[in-house]
Amino acid sequence: MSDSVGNNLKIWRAKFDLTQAQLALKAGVSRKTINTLERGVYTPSVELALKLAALFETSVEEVFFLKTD
Amino acid sequence: MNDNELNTVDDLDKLEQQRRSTLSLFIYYFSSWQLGWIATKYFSTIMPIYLYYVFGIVLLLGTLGSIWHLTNIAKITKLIKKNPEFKKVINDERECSLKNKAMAYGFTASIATSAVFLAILALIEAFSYLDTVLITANLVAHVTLVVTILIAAIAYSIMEQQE
Repeated sequence: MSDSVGNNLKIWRAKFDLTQAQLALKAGVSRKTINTLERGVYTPSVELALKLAALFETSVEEVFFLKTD
Repeated sequence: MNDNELNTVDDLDKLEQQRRSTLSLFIYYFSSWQLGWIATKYFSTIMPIYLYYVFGIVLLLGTLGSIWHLTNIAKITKLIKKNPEFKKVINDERECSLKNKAMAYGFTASIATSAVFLAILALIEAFSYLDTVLITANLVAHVTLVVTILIAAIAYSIMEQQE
C-alpha cells in the first residue's frame, strides 16, 4: 500500500473556465506540466501547489489530496 | 490575458513538441558522429574501408535530422527573446526535475563506463602478452564523455515520452 498525491485540477479549471494553456500561463509553467499534473503523472512542488490553489482562490487541500493506492 | 499572449503560448507549445520529437534525431546524429569519430581516430588501422562510407552516409542523414532539431531550438530561443517571461515557463520545475534525473543517469553511466575500462585494462595487464594495446587515455576519456552525454540525452527523451 502506497500513498500518492491526487488532485481536482481539471474540475477547478473547468469551474474557472480556463484552458490548460491559460492556467499554465497564469501559474508560470508549461502546458505540458499542467497536463501531467491533471493526469497524475507529475506531483507538484509545495510552491506550485500553493500557487495553483491561490489561483483558484481556495485552500491547497481542496485541489490536492493524499490518496492511498 | 489577451489572444496574442495565448497564440504565443500555443506557438511555444508546438515548438516544444517539435523539439521533443526531434530530440531522438539529434541523439542519432550525435551517436553516429561520435561513433564514426572514435572508429576512424582510434581504430583506423583495423577498420575496413567500406565502413568509412557507411559512417559517411549515417552521418549525412543524422546531420539533416540534427539541423531540424537545432532549427526548432533557434525558433524557441527567438520566441523567448520576444517574450522573456517564457524562459521561466520553458524551464519550469517539471522540466528541471527531468533534467536532474537525466543528469543522474548520465553520471551513473559515466561511473559504469570508467569501471568497465578499468576492468578491461586490468585484464590486459594480467595477460601482458597482449602488447598491442588499443586502449589509450584519449579513447577512455572520449568514450566516457560520449556515453555520459548519450545516456543523459536518451534518459531525458524516454522520460519526456513517458509523461
